[in-house]
Amino acid sequence: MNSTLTRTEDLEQLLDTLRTHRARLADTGQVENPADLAAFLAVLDDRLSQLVLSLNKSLEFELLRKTALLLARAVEQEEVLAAMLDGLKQVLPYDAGGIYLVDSTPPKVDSGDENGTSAPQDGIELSALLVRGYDEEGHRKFKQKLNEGVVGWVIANGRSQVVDDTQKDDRYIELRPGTRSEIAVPIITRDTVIGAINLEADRVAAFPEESLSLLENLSSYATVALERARIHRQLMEARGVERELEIAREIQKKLLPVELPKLPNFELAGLNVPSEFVGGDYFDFIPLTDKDIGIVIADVAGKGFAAGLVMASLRSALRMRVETTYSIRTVMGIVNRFLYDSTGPERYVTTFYGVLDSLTGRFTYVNAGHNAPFLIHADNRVVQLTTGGPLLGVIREAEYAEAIAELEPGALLILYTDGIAEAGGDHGEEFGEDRIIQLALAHKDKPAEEIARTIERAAVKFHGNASPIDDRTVLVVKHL
Amino acid sequence: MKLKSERHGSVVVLELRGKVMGGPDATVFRDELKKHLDDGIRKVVVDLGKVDWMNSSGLGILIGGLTTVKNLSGEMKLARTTDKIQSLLMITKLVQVFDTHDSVESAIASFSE
Repeated sequence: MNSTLTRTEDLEQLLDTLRTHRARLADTGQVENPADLAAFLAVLDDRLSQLVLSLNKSLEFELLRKTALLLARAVEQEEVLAAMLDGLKQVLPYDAGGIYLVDSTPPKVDSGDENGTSAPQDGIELSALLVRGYDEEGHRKFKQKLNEGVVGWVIANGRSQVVDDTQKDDRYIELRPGTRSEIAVPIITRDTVIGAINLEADRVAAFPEESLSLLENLSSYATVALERARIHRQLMEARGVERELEIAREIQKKLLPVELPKLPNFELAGLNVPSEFVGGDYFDFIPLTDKDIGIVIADVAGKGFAAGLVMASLRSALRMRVETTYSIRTVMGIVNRFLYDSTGPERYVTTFYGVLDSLTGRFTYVNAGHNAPFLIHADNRVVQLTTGGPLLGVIREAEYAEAIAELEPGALLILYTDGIAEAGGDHGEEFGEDRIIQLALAHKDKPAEEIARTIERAAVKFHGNASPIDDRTVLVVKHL
Repeated sequence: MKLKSERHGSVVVLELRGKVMGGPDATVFRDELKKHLDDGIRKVVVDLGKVDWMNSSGLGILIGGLTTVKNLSGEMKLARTTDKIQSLLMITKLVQVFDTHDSVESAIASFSE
């Protein structure tokens, strides 16, 4: 019940019951059946809490959407980050906040710029890129203590922290009088912590645990904005289109999962080989509960930096929505509108998203215009998973259907992008679906990783050297 | 990709040939389409009968074209879609979005007056 969003009908029913109780109370002046009323109040509490939660989520979603829009318009990094930090104040009220960066090189001190500063210690050098709500005195102290305290801990450990009471946390160092609670999330690229977002409030427990997911989503946007700026600087020397593609490739690399989740009875493999010139494939394994895992594969149309941004938007929207919304076809509908609104119809994404229940092998999925994955059953029957709707980001009102497939022990699920299926097609025959099926059947008993590698290698070999080859992504899910 | 355009009254037929793969092809198509739209043309037929191959980026050209034309309250139809293009439309579930015709003539005739 908790995971379902409250529907209007439910609320109307609730309101009816509320009025009945109220009328009865007004008529008789007493509570006839206290147990009945208590039960009703419990339901009311539950539904109203859900409603508050979903309203908050809408505000959070709106902030993410606006940030994605800014990013897509390729605005300066400072502008994106400032909009992010200021917008955050509406959703998650704070009294002071900042975005901090790890400097690998000795920091430049900009004269007259109160934000450009650093404090080398323990090998970490930090600079405050953007701050809000600190007075001069506090900020002077901050300059010396930046890499200590909670922010320092978050950066050193790469993990988010909520400090409900700063007076009870040994790591906390007072840099600003009045601060009683704090929240900090790292800004992480593929393998390194490059900074942190930190918020402080004057009251105890101002930041609920749930606000972490919003901050972590924003942090992935910060990654895109910062990486873009950093790589841009690094590649200043390079010329023309090369640089643009390099940036896209870097961003793509940083958005893909580093480590695959472990599931009992299942083996997962995810292989992505970006091409020299495109760069639009994306995949993710999203742990949802102890037993449920979200599996995504997507192909963003077009190339270059814009594709990387759409990918970041998709990742963020999907990760955010799957945590809060129960039905995956609803998730797809929302993500579709999100992409349409934040990028315009020229940018689109074919996406397949499914949730695997690792206890039962039940796989609920939506196919939004993506190459249909193959489900190879234990008895070698092959089924294509096609149910869904159009690709994302093109038709705003599109509706999506979901279907359920069973992955019984011995079953194998193969997901891939068109870089595999269409290999060779630009100068001859296509690699095609049949070859993928044949390879999967022939290597069914091999480890998932090896099956993925075998299919990818075969597609590359088939394509030959006549022309550059597209991105290739293969995911394999194997029920042991 | 090669692109040729021909006017039939108030309709423009854009004929694509060869491999349609996005990138520079998209710019060529967009520029040509814009030229006709600037002239006030709102009825567009894209003849795909001579397309050897199209990938998903190539499909993006058609999606972009459809969006542009629709935004100007115009109509864009596809004529002579090859098996490959038909399969792309099936995979991406855009079959219902595009109005497809077996011949250029029937595509032209299908425009509402």
